Amino acid sequence: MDIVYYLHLIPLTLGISFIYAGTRCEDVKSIIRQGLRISLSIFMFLLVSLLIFFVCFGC
Amino acid sequence: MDENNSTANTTATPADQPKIDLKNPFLAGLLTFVLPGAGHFYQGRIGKGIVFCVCVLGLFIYGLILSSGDVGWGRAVYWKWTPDDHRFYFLGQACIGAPALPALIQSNRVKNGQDPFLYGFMAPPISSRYVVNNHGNLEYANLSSDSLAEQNSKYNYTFHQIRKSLNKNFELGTLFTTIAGLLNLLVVFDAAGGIVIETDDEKKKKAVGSRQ
Repeated sequence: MDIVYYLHLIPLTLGISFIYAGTRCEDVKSIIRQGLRISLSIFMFLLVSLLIFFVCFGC
Repeated sequence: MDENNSTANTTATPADQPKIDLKNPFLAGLLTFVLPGAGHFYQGRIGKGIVFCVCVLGLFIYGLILSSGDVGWGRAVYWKWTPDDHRFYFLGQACIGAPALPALIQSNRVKNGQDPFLYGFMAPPISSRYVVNNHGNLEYANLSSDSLAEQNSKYNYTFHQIRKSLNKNFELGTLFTTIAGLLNLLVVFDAAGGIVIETDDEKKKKAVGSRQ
């Protein structure tokens, strides 16, 4: 099923978030905390976007 | 290093930010460009180096695994610049440094008529065979079964064969490895210039925004 391919977004988002957080914090604990917070925000954004997409286009 | 010497190469941080000794920023940036996190290890920022190393290399290796299969290993990372294949993605993938080096070695081998080694790891696809049809357009020519069998035993596949075999994983592998390479540029900037620091104006704007 194509929907399985969306699961690949999880490692991608985590990787991008942690590296972005790493450029803004020095402490490893802060990087992890910030990274998880950014990932969560992206996941929520993606989830809402996908829901809107599926509802609008019915796929 | 004592406090006086370290001030020359330390970032101008506000009171609430830790002072970072960047040592030689150019060397740190160069080391990070060669291997993600290496510049941070050189600067003694071990924890951060590990985080960057795991994240960047993790994404890159994940992409390589996705683009591995019957047609060989890590087929989404390769360097080729011919009329039928301009591999722009490699410009992004190459930013990861040493981990993308096998692609150049394999490309050189294939260019010199040698077979790729290591199960076709990062080997470029062979050029598709095109012929000009009656209408003057380029058309893909079918290879004979003998020549196909010979190719397949040596991991010499055309782009179409690789793409067909790996399906969507080829695109995903390309995406992951390219993003990993581009993210390494951020890591290079972090090693050479230190962390991004918010100015007082930015902090004020944020505070105003959160109040509204």
